[in-house]
Amino acid sequence: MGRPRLFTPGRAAIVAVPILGFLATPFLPFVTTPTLLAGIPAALLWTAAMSVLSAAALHLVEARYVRSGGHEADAREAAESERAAGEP
Amino acid sequence: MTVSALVIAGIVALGAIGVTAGRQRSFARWAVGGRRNSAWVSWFLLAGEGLTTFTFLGLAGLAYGGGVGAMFAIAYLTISYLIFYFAAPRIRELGLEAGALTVADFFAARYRAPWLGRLVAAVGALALIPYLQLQITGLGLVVELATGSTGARGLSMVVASALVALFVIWAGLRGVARVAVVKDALMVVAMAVIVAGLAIGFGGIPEVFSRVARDAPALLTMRGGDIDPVFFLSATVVTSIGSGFCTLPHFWPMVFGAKDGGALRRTAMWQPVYLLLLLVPITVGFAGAVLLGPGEAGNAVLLRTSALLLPEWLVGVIAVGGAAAAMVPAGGILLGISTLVTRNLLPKVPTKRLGAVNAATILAVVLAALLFGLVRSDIGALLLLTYGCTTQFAPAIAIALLDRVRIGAGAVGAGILAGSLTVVVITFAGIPIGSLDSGLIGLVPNTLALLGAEAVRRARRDGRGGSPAGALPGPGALERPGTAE
Repeated sequence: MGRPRLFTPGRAAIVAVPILGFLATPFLPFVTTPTLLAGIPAALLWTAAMSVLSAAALHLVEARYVRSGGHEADAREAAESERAAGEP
Repeated sequence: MTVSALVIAGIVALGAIGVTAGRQRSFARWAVGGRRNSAWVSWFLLAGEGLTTFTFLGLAGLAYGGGVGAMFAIAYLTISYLIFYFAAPRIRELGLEAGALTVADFFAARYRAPWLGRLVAAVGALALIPYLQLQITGLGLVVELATGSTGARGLSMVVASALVALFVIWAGLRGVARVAVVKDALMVVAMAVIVAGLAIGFGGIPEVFSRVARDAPALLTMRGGDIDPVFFLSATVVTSIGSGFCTLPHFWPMVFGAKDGGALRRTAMWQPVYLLLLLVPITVGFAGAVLLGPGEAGNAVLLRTSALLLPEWLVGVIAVGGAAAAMVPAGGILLGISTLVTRNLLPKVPTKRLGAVNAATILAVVLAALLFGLVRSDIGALLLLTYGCTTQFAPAIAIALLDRVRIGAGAVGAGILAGSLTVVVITFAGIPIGSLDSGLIGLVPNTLALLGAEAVRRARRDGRGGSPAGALPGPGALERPGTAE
């Protein structure tokens, strides 16, 4: 039985959002002029926000993958690993 | 003296923890942990690669000189995990099918070309030696900065190198994983101590940045420091590609060792949040710009700033964390080099002598790296080669992850050689490339050579009346089973 495809255009589009956010950093107005928000550099807050968004994007992708049969595929892989580990 | 003793005792304890993982007698168990590593073990192994001596020494220095531009480290590490999430499970899946233990095994199997595997093994093993030396040198620097003693620096490098070699020879990947768990705990403690020191010393973290805004406002932009937008973008893009596709060979045993793709995916899903720890050394870099003034060596900023804010023994605890941040990657690198040598460059070694050859390789490599480190030889250019050359594996790895490999080994080899040669020429001829990354530039001739050589191969094949699809008739074991979602 085959495993579901992990990389799809839709999932790539989801993770592309934080990637574009990171790559846009040097051009954002609060990076070209000194800016503090609540006493913290806006660039630091932006980067932290993109990191959290990245984790959220991967969780969303994972949820979609699991719905398409990802857990069952993982279980089969773990069994294959056990078999491979048992071989001399 | 007390700090020196604390740091040396900490290093010895870390080495002992690695040995307690137990002796691994089977080569596969030694190299990839029997392919049974859970998500937790994978987490600690990969976090060990993300948070290294660079975190302790380099990042604070980058913020000290480059201000908010230092955020590129968080950007590239996070993007690399967004790529890794998709790439690593596929690498693991294909590697298991081919019985691969190294990146070279993977190349040889996917492109059905043992010579390509040997080429990748040779480039990969050589490229990792400067990276190993960086860890050993970084460890010595952490100890020297924390203790103020050059004697402690040399002693710690010798002791740590010997212990890393010992636990890697004895326990393999499991030993590295066990030390990695302790190392991450130490890192979190060290970062918490530093944050507390900053908050108490300045009267709150926002006060650090208020003083930066007053005394060095250029650090709050990407226009006035050492890091400009071109560097930020090129370094982020090329390092994300390199790390995301696991082009550094010592990543592969960790990927192959995962019990299933889920272990790798779950690791990637949470790492972006964990990487926010890097905001701590970056903040210390800003604090250093205020407290230390200009002219401080970048690598010294974190520990010199900490020494101004914290009692001596707490600086010692931070130094043990820094030592651990060097020992874990050093262990992974040693494992990566020795498996490439034993399995791919010396494939005719009898099974019963594998352990002895492996141990001899590890001892020889660690001794060479230690000697270079003790004489303080400059490895800056070589390290650029490490990253630049191994990044040239990325297009070939990406192609190998497809359902069917339709590119010939010759084209892939030509691309790797063209890209690596470009990086070598740029590095040693001192060709001015501004803030651009040589590895990124090398990807251009790499891709052109790959496409050109493949076009020639197909033209020749068509002239001989070969298969019109252009696909390599790979062995059944490497063809991906059904892929329907």
